[in-house]
Amino acid sequence: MKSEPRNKSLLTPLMQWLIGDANRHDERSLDAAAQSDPFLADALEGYRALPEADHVADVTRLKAKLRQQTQRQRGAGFYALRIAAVGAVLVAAWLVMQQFANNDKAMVADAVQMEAPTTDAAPPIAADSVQPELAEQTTTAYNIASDESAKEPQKVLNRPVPPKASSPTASSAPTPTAPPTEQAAHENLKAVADDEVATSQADKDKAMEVAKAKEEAERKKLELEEAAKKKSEEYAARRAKEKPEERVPAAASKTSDSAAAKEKLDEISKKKGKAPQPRQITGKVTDGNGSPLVGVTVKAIGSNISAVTNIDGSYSLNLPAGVVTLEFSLAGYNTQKVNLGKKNQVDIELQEN
Amino acid sequence: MLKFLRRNIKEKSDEELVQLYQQAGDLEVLGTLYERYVELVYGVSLKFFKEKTKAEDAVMAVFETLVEKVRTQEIRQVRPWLHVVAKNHCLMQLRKKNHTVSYDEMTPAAQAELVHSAGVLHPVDVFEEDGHQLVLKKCIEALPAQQKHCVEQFYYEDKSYKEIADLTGDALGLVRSNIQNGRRNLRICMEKSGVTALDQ
Repeated sequence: MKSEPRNKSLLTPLMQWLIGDANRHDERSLDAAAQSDPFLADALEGYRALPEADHVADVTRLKAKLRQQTQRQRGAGFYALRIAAVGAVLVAAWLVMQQFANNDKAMVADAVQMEAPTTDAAPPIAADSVQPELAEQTTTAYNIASDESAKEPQKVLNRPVPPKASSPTASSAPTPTAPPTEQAAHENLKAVADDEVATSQADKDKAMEVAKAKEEAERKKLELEEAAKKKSEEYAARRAKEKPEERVPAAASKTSDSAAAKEKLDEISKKKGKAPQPRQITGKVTDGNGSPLVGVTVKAIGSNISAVTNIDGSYSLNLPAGVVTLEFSLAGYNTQKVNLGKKNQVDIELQEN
Repeated sequence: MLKFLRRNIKEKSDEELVQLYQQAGDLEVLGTLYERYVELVYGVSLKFFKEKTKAEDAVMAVFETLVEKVRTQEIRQVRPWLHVVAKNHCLMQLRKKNHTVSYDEMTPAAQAELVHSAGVLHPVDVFEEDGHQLVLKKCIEALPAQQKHCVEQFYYEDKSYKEIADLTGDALGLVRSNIQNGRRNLRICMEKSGVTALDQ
């Protein structure tokens, strides 16, 4: 890869002679060698036929040309793989966003139910009366949810009530929205995955790379899902904490069920206290010349989380707490480990090996 | 896998690289192998074409043929095999372009001029050892000034081409040319004086 860092002793006697670094003894042994090596003899003859030409420059240029040719072709294949990988990651990210949105709605809707599992008929009203603050926040989500469920009434009726629902009357309207949307997202993901499998079959060389990217994307997705779940849980818990005086008496005056709901909330808020804070790390990877490196694997040591740099050399990772080191690796470059410290942006340079 | 290959590729023998290329078809492997022979193939091409641009084209064209040949042919030893491939390519090109010139027709002059035994190629070495120092000295004195200077530096001061070039401020090519011509003139001079390498 590097251009002529060879020292003198590594040069062939012919090259040494060509660069003029040969005295009479060197030249004589070169000619002696040529006696038993017709290839060398022919070459020497050729060079001596044009004694005044700058042979070293020509040979160097030829070698560079050769390298360019062999590495460009190799590089093209690599590039395609990288683009495929980046594409897969982007698709996965898009899916994650979708999932995130759906999850948020579903989780908030669930939270409403957990808080207000009264015997009253309509859950929004129940939520309103028990916790005006929370209900206000979640009405939008609920409305969207019921809209979606209204679009698929058949499905809703046929679907068994999810076990999470604490009261059948309350759950009948809002909860079934989660399964269809989740299922839709799942089907979506599956379709994309099938697509990816198809392309990977088309090109066996890409299969491993794509599979890896998929795996990574899946991991990323799970990670984000986890984060989303936590977020909505935290949100619910925070809401509950912020208005404890208002909520507790109101709940007590209604039914004993709200006490159970409070227990649940406490549990959630405890969980929240324990849950490590995830953080997002972003950054850019460049080579020695400052040009971005695509396809660098960025691994969070101590977890199974990793990312791949995109066409600008940028990456983004959602890390669980406890990860302190990132590892950057790319074929042809020295693998580098970086301690995170408090940084949320880590830009590094990789050196060719 | 690729990383592993790349790291070790430089240390592998020619024959190992051929095997590797036959298995995986990685052009970089073939390129690494050919790079070891670029100066030899270029020299051979120069011998046949006597022209830089044609010789350079030949070096790249030979590589193109290798992409297929190395994959399909059984190669026991790379060095002699590649020599034949390079030579044949040059001959083919010459036949194609100048219909009349063949290897036999074009080489005698060059061979007469250049392909001598190492001894005759280096008259100073040979005649010095054979006890013809006086004649040799006379012939060196008779050389044109530039050739004389270069030959003296090269043979009696043990200087390398580069060192002589630095000393005289001439281009390396000129030094090489002077020494080569000086040697040829010495040989002729010695033969005229009745001394040949093979006699006595």
